[in-house]
Amino acid sequence: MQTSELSPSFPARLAEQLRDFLSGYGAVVFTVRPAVGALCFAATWAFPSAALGGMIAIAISALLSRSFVLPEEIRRAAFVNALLTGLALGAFQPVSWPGLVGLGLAAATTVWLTAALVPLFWRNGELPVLSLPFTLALWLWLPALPASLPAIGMLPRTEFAPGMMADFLTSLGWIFFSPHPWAGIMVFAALALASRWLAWLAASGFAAGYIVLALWAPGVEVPPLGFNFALAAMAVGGIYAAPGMGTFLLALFAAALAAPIGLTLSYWLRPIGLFPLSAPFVAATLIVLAGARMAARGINLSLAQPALPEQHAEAMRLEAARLGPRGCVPLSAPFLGEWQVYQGFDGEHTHRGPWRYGLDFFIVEDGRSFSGEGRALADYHAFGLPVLAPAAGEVMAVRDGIADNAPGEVNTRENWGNYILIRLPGGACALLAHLRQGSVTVAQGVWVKAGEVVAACGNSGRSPQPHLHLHVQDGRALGSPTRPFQLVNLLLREQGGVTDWRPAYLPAQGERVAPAHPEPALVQALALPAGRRLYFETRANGGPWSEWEAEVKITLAGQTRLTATSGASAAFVHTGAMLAFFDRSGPADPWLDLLLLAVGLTPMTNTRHWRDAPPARLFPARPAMRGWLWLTRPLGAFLDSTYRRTWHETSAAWRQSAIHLLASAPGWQTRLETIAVIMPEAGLVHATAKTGGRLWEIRLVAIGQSADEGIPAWKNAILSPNNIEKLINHTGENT
Amino acid sequence: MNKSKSKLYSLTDPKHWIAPTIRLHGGGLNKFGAARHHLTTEKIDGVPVAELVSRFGSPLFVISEKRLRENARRLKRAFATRWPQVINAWSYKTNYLGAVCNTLHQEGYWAEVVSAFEYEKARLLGVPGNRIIFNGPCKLRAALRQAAEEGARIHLDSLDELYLLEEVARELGKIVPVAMRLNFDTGYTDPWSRFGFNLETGQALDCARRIGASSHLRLAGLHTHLGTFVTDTRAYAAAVRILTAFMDTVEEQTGTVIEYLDLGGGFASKNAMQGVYLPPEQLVPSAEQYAEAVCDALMAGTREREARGLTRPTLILETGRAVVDDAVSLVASVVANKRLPDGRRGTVLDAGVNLMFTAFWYNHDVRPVRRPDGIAEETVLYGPMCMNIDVMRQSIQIPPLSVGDLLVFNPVGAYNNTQWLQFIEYRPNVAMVLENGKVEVVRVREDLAVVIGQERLPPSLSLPFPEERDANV
Repeated sequence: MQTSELSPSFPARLAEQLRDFLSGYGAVVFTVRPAVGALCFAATWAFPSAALGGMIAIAISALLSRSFVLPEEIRRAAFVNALLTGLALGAFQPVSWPGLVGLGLAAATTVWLTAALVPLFWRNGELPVLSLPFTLALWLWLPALPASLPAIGMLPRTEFAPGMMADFLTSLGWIFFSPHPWAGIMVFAALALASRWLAWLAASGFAAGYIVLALWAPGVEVPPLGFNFALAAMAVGGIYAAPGMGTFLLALFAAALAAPIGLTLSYWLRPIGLFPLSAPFVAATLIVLAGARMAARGINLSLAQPALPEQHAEAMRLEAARLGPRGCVPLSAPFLGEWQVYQGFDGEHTHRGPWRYGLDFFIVEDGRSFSGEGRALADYHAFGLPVLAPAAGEVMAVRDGIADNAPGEVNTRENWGNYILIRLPGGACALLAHLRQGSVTVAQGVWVKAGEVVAACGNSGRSPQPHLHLHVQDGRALGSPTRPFQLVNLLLREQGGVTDWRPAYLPAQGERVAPAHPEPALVQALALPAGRRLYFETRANGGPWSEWEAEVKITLAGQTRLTATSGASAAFVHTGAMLAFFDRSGPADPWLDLLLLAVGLTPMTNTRHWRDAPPARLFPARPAMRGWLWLTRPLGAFLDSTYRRTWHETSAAWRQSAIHLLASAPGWQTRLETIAVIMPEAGLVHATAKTGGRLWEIRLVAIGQSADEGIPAWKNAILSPNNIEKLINHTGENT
Repeated sequence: MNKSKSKLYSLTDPKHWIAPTIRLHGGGLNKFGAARHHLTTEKIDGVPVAELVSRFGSPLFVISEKRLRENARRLKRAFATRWPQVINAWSYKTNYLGAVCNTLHQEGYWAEVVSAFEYEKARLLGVPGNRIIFNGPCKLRAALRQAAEEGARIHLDSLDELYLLEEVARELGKIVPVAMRLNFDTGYTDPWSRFGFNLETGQALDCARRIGASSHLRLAGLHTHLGTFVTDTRAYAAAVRILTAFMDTVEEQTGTVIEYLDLGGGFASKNAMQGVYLPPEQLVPSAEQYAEAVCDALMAGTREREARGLTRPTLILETGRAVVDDAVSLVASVVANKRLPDGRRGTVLDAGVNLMFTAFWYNHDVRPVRRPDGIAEETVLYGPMCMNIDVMRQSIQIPPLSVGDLLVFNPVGAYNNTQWLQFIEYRPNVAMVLENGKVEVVRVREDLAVVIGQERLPPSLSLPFPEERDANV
């Protein structure tokens, strides 16, 4: 009742529509920021007839999308393609009534082609349609004798020295059918505003295509083709793939490829009065992206979630820090307690060739894997210990009757010994091998869940001493080629006996690892159910307290996000083993940033140490530092964060402290310390950040829940501020 | 082999004439176990026993840090590789020498205490309150209050204790998590029914309901302790089955979620209990065998519960004897020999039941430091007390010993350094052979000042013979 869902006021709705309108312009250059869109919109006005045509086409597309209730993703793609159609017809077609009718029909065609092609492309390779509907529609509806471009637009005729620079800017203008250097400058400014990496890709992609064109077809007019080079480089190099060296080279290749495609299309289309338009960009991008889907390394595609290169870079870095290399199958440790890797990936004994991705585990104490004389299997530490299913899945095959070898002997005839083959959700199979004779407790066709005891460690097959073999293979045939995998939620024993928690890790030969186990009290304390409202008070440098609020929301796609009233938000997952935040978006909000640094990656397991690499933009750096980072780290900098957590009995709370290091330049480090206090009943109740004499504090004053249909909202003050004060000032023991 | 041969030759050395005898060259297994009178203990962790005695005197307790850590690790590993969440606790009463306790704490063991004194000692050693398990039938208000404040795991023994703790919790304004100690019949051991709440009579369930209804106590765990020197692993499996079934009942009836099951201690060490037929090598299960029995039963007993989405309960073990017993040896010297009227040899040592209290129940393995010449004959080992009961071994086959010969008793780590008596004699040095090969005294031998340190003489009793004072003046 309290949060009544009134329909927004008229000005608010108008502002929202304007934002959508401008975002649509920005979407042509792959970004949705309204400011970027505004620059693009301004660029279209170099030629007013084109700009008007564009707006008419948008209106038609909006009308059609709304009337026929087209899905959101088609609506967006249709907007972009209709806009381009309108711009092109407005520019190439004399203003007339038949022209207007033609524009309408062309816009409708664009919308329908988009609706037809988007699902088709997605099903066949998860590829985007890009501006293909626009090109096809224009080939159909462009008059047989198009008007030439008007000689004079709205912009002054500046004499740009002809050459690569002028060609580049004019090419950028061509993206919006405003082939004018000034329009190009505006588009470039829009790109730089959206993403400097994108602007760099546009420039370098153009250069690549330009060089090819200069070598293959000197004398061809560059700009009508040139924008294809820039767009192809942008799409491949940063929007549909995470930036990186391999990606960048492929981006240049896509740009270069657009040149001969453009030349060839021009050659074939010119006799029938058509232009290649953006077809070279579409063809080159699709070819490179579709091919890259087969690549195992060098390029990390993100076809389902196109984003700006900076966002990709951040996500990649977090993924690398938290989940390890891409494409690894995540498995949980198939044992309890601490085991040592006997043989790792590419091992010296048997983990070679197609079976290179395997892990062997055993237990070593004081350099020996057995106690007593080691003549009996039972002397071996690992023998007979429970073996757990490393993931949920269906048991495809089982063997249980092979005798365990005496120590030192091997059975090369049945080299896998007793085994269990489990089919994982992705289709690959996990193999547990060398199991103890008669120990397998599951049968073929049974569904197991991760962590279930399925057998005992044995010494069957090619196994000179009791150990457990684990690998992931492609098919269900025993001994199929293996695939890389890694173990998740692991405690790794470091030098000096300290155990470090790793969200995902591939242990090397000789390393000792143990699975981490959830601490129910922490899991409960850090639960963030949808609709939960957290009421905080904040203050900086001991100033007055002010209020700050955040709510847990679920997006349409099911992503949970902690969203502050300021609009700033961050996505998070609560897996039962860890709480992890990512994708901080929205306006600046130092308090959300503080929370993200203090508890950004919080394992809910029996662990004390761990590390993370959150983006440096969460760091409350001074403006000069921000400027320096902006200059030197176009793809964003990252912190080196070390976390440590202890339980304080006297205050009945966990104290999670972290040191975040920002290496701005070699030898120049800035340090931020955060401390989060987590209580079993209330969760995060207090957090501080301290750097260079500055101090930020945030404390919980109440927890609430938003209303749901039939369930009223509630809000409970959980602790008086004085109590929290006590909690923080208490210098209790470290436990 | 070579060594024993050279000794044999010495028998024929004309300078040391010994009456000719017929001796059996056997030594294999027989129904009484291995013949062991040829075994010696010359060194402890590489340090010659004779050197230890010359440095620290006799008698002397010697602790092996290496063995202690090995035992601790082996037990810990045996359970940690079979059950996801295990807490090993060190039973203080078994041996609360600070050096022993801290060695085990360094291996990750919590403290299990049964009195205010043990609690204080653990805190003094630096164990945080929330790593102390507080058992025992006699916990008074002050101790309960401290334990509740510091987050120790308090295991209730009686309803009166429950009421007292509830009052303390109310005063502290805290919800105190507690566990109940349970007693029941496993069918394999004699039930220790004086401790905790009886399960069969319904007392335990009543108590669980009472805690469930309390607004200051929360039932977090269930505790039992079967007894001591339990050599049948089936007893533990049965205890786990009973505990997990009771856990399900309690959870269903009170809505609480049990976080941990504490199986207490009682694992046997490789010591020979008097009156037991089999030798310890054959009788005493290994850490792995105990672990397998317990964890298999736990897996089976919690499978359904886990399917309902509850995490597996933490397993707590309060092992004492099995960890420390064979890590400690007692070195004693021969003081005198005599022939008893029944023809047996009697040997008097400088260490008796005042130091090795467990001699009343166990036939400790005893080995000379040097292999004595002569043939083994039945011998009684006496201590230095002027009491008839001061017998270290009632009967042992050993060649005649000379005055000054050293004997090493092992295992003596469990209960002797806590139950020993300052009776007639001072308590001797306790030395620890560290992993780095150095030897440190971890408890200094007592002297008169220590023994009379706590005494106070009323002024009227300050002199033994007051009438002589006047005479001297």
